[in-house]
Amino acid sequence: MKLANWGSLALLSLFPSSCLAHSQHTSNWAVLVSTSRFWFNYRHLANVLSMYRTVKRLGIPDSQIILMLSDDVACNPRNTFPGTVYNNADRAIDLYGDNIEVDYRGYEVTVENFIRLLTDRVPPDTPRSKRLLTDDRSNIFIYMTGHGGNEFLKFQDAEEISAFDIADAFQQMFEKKRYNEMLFMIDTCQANTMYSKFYSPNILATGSSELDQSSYSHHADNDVGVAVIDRYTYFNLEYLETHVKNASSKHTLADLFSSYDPVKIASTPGIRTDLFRRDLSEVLITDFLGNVQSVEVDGDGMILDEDLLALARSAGYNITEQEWKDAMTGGYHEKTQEERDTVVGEQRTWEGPARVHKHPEADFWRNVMSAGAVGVCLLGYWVFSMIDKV
Amino acid sequence: MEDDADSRRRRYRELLHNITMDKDGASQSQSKLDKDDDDSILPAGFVDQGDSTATYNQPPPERPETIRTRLWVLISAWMIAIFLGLPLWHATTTIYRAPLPMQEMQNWSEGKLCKTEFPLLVEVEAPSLPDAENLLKTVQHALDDANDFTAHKPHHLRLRLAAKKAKSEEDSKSDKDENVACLLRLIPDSQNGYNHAVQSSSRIVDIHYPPPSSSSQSSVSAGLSKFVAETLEVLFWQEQELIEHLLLPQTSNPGSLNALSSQSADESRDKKTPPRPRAATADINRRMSRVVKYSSSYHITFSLFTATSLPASWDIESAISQYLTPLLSALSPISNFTISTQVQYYASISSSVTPTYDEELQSWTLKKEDLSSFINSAEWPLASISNDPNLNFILYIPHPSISPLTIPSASHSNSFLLPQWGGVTILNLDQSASHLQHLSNPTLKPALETFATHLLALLGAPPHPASLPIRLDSLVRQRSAEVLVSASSTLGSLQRLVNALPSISIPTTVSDSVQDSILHLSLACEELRKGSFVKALEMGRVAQEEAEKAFFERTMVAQVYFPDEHKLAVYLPLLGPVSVPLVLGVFREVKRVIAERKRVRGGA
Repeated sequence: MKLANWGSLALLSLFPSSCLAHSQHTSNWAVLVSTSRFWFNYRHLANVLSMYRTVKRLGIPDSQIILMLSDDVACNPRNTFPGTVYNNADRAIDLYGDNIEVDYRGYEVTVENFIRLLTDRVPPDTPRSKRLLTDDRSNIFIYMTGHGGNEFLKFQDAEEISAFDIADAFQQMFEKKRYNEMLFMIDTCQANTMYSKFYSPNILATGSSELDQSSYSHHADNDVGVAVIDRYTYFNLEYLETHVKNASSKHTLADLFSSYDPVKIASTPGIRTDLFRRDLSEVLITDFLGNVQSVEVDGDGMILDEDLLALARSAGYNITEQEWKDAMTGGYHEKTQEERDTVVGEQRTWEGPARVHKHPEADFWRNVMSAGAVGVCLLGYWVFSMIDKV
Repeated sequence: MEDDADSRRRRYRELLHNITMDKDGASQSQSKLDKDDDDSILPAGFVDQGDSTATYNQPPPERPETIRTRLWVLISAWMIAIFLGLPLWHATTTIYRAPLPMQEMQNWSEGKLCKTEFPLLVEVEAPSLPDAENLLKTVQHALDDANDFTAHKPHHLRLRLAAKKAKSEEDSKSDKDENVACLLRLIPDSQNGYNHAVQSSSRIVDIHYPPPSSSSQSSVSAGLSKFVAETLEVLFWQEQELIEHLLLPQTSNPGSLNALSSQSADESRDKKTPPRPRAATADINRRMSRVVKYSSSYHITFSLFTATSLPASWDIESAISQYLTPLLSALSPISNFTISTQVQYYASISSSVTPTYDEELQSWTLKKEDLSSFINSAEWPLASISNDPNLNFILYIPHPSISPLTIPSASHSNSFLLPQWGGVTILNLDQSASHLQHLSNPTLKPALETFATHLLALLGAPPHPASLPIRLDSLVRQRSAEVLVSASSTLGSLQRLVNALPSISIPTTVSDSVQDSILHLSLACEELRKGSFVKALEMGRVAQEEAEKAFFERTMVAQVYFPDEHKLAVYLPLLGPVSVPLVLGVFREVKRVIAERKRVRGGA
């Protein structure tokens, strides 16, 4: 309670500086990942879809949300309410409504794809919607949920990502200036261990539970038959729904973090700020979960040239309409044709997501080596058979 | 029969005895015991069959050839393990890492290899001035002095003056190859004193100066030279600032946590250059923040969003080709553009935007906070499928119930710009007008003019000076600086990445790309020094593309992290069974050799 008061006080006194904070980023991106499979993990998908709904509500467009759903519980035959996902027993909001864009689905949600997404080392034919096209002025919100343990998070019940992997991926993102600031939020058992290995600057991390602590679900829906949401996510959402009504909300992350109650959550949430530059009471929630575009209105700093177009014409750049059209359409088509060719050319060498890139030279030596190994075996066989005869 | 049973029992007892003695591990005492206790256990006259063959006590001495065979077996097994097994294991498990010119990459990223220069050629035409040469020398001196004074950094614009008194057609043609940045025309003007006028559609700058009175020839030329120097400073000051700003991060190494100190670096920079006000830095920061990252081609989407079903169509195609194409073709040396258009009916602005009615203005007004969430990204189809960076220009026609909708803070037009994203213009239609069904070409002209301004701002063209060609030239220089910095910092990132992650594989394509990138970087640097900026931009573009290709190489995904216990768990089941006989064999042989030596020494 005290903390909350202090947070709002700080908010008031630092109001002018929050304007300054606005100018630091120009776009917001969200990466929302659920990693677990099977019907009884319904709540993890509900967690992620709730977060999806929230960031979308606060203005992040679908093109800037990467939604990774590891299973399709909405269409699971065991779902009593087919085609829907609810995060509450009152079933007020269908999270799976009709305006949802899943970017990675089912078995596409793998450790490799996640790392590739973060580092943008994707195959050349990856559509734009599956790529994290951020730059040094993008704020990224990363939310993960699933089953985890000490320094790992399970993907698809088959593999796991370790805290080291994520930390290295973030460092690569930092090296390539792929983010301005990042908020990492994770809801899993022993979640706080997942961000303990981070070492790249400007990352703010929060998790649901400490080392050796489990994260628990909040409640179950008896008709759905399984737990529908996790506690940590539930209380995050509760705060966001009741306080952050729209994208122009001035609530800060300090407010959000001080709303966490370890007794209600049944585990101790963690916050890691040592890599983060700004004071939490200056950081608006919508800096990460919303999309507030800074705007420049004509007149302040930007001079409008009334006759810019006429200028360009008289400056000797005058070509006829037809010439321009020809140049444009022709050039465009040529280029796309070329691009298509190159894409096809590259595709030929690529035969699957897990395949190692093939090199003629390396392949040659590999072949020579395997032939040599077989030769040695044959030679040995021959020598020993000769010895036998002798 | 009885005898047989007896001897059997005896033998068993003996066996039992031997075994228990063996367990005590006293084979010596056993043989002693055999001799001593012979009588007590065995009846007299009993001849032990086993004694003669020595089954339990001593194996027969090994024949030398069997020892030799065993030795050979042991040695050959070890040889196979060492000379076949180890190399095979090594060859199949090592990660291929193509050699990269690490030091060179680091040097590029630190800006050591290229002293970025932007030599600008300024021509002066002074037909009515007798000692133009002299004047030029003075101006050059003044400029050089100013540069020396302010420039602590190596990157600085050098202004070169070339005098051409007699202007012929051929001369001007050859000048074009030399990339004249601007042409100063000195014109005597008795009325207005010193002033300069920039011709907006060419690179010519007219400088008016009061005609010299015959008495004070020298003082006039001194005043004139000072004014010329000042004019040049004013003309290129903004660009200079911007390029300095761009090149700044190149000198400070963006290491792991150094970015935290970037703010303090900014501050120290402010201290270093006292004459420039802080506002200028803020202005540059703001201008930089709205500039879209450089790309060789952009996709522009023009969208008409109307809150009702009217207007149903617009003349966008002819309007674009009529008004916008000259500008786009002027920009074509820098980037290419592809264009798409769309019309969306019944497009509502997001619910959080609430226009208020202003009695004074007789219109609905939008506050600045409203503008920042004006774009209804949840419902407006603005996602692009093109892989090029996308710029959106939206023409919004509000619902009649909230029309006219205005932005009071916008002084010129009813529009605003979203940094790195695009521009929005709100168009209020006269409800009674007949053109409601269809937006004609002339109606679109003001909107397109606004968009053109937005486009230039988004691409980063400096708003000053007024001459479009000079602005575009300066955009070329600015973009080439940006591309150079981006390419070299990518190389630096790659170098640090390769050092930091030893488990990552580096295919040969990466080293090829890096070589290519470095080659083009140095080419671009050379072109810059020569003053041909368009070529420098081209080279820089290739360098950047190659560097990005190297960095984003698909196969360079770090392998999943394995703790050491995992590795042990993988190797133990394989290495355990293989290594136990090998190691024990050696151990036994060594023991045998030592025993033999002892025996030989004891014998001697």
